Amino acid sequence: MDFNVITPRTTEELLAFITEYQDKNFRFGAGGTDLILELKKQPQENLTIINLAQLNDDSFNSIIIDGNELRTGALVTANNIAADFYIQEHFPVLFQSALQHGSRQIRQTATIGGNLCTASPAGDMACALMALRAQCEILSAEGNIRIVAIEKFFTGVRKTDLKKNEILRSIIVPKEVNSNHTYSDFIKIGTRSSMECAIVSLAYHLEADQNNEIVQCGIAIGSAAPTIKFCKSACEYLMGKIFNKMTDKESEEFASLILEYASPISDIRASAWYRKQVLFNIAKGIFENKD
Amino acid sequence: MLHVGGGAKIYRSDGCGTTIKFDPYGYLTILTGSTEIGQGSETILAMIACEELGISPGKIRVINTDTDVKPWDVGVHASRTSFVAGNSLLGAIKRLKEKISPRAAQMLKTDIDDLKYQNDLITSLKTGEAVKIDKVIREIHFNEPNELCIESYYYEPGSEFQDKKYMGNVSGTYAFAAQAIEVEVDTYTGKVKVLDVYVAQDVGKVLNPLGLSGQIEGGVVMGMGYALTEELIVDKGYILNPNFHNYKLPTASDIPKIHFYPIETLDEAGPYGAKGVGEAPLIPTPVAIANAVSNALGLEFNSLPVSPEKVLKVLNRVP
Repeated sequence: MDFNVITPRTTEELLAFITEYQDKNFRFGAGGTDLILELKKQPQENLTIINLAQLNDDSFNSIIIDGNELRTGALVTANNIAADFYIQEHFPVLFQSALQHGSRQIRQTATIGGNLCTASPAGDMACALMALRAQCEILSAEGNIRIVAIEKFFTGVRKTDLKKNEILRSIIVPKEVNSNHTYSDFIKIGTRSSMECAIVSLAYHLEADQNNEIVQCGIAIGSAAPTIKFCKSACEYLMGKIFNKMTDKESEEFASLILEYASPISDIRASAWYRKQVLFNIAKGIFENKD
Repeated sequence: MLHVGGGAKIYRSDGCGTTIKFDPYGYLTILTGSTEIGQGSETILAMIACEELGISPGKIRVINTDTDVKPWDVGVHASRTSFVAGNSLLGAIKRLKEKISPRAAQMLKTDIDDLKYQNDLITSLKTGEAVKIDKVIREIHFNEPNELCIESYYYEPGSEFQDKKYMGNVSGTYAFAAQAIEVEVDTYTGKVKVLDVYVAQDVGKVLNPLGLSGQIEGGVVMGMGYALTEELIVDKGYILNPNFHNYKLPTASDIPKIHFYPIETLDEAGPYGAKGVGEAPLIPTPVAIANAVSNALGLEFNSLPVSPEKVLKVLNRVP
């Protein structure tokens, strides 16, 4: 494993480096928790890493709460998210996904942007952000900004919509203003309680009115398909239902709709059968014991 | 559960050698055949030397890693180290005292049965007079007949080498243990959570209480990995998970409450009545966990690990 490292301190430097390296082999390095493992497995020739660790730009580094949205810089770490009380209160799904990510040491350096750009189907925070219908703010070397819905951001296993002259700057999560109840969690299935790559995961974020009627709904599954999947029909099924009055039959119908998005593989961590069975079980389990 | 507790003759020898050197400043070097791999033998050996020679732990150095100078030993296995290395060290110290005591008795004008080794001194119980132990060593070195304060001892347990059918009274002593384990099984995910582990174990004489607890807890956790998560996955001779990313050891967040009840006995064969404790807490754990899962679900598990997938398959009657 051999590579060059360049470390931009400002966004201007960063964009200049991106422009300069367009014809060369380069990768962005943020927390490095995935990148270094990947390069150990598959070393690359003449690789330069644009190291983002010392980039001094609030758009990349901060969690900003603005009236109707949460804006998280791509370089915000999992531990930053897991220590944020606002996120804990308003977006439990994101909070839990960060808290259950890797180990404390990995969370200290792993970034939310890295979790998205790695585009692993097992991404923890990526799965939560999918359930939250996040939007990706992308900056180009020319300084232009475009916004891409997270569902369009993932294009395949470890593939994203990013072009070579672009970088993910921040992630925007819209907030439902008029909600009485939030039901939101990240369910991660692994063999043990921490240091796990999800065998399967389910992220949900539901908003309900004063009658507990579901008025807003986002559900995503991880490690169940080539990319993280947003479960649109399952969300539509829930709209208008009373959260704590779901019958067993309804819960199972809902879980069956979730499974329509699952096309898991069998690998050394679990079989496809296990992934589907567990996904069905945890999906119907969302509505149990929630009075 | 019955297991060997030190001195198990799975090879022709289960011996351990020790050489000790007392220097003229009162510092003791122990060259032991045994090896420290985290089980605490280094501390145990220093404690034994403190107990026997009445010197402080800071004056003891244990050399257990350098095979250029270490005497013979069979290896770290079979819960044997405290037992064989302890006995071996006691043998060496006995020989050394046979050299020190007559000279100290001469200096204190008393006989050797009247001596007490304590606080870096050798004291006459009758007169209360004392001499510094390092001064006695210097006397031995510098005055006729000018001897070195170095002794070696080789301890070989009296156990029998197993016969061709792997039978026989193979161990110097035996360890006995029982465990009761409570688990919680998530029937949606198949995950087993170990809640409480109760360990009752015959540990002989406790030499180092904290070290003992560490050995018991470490053994239980290792047994938990064996029971629930650790699996070497092999396909056509290739190991598919040759790393700790996919070969899953339990982590700190999986550790249950471990309630340890040491059953203290005096084992005739062991140093001060101690016996081996390291493996006994590991062996009943997977069995107890698998039985607890069976008890919770009314279904049997006859292979390890009892992985979430295996549990869910059994629950769903999937072959």
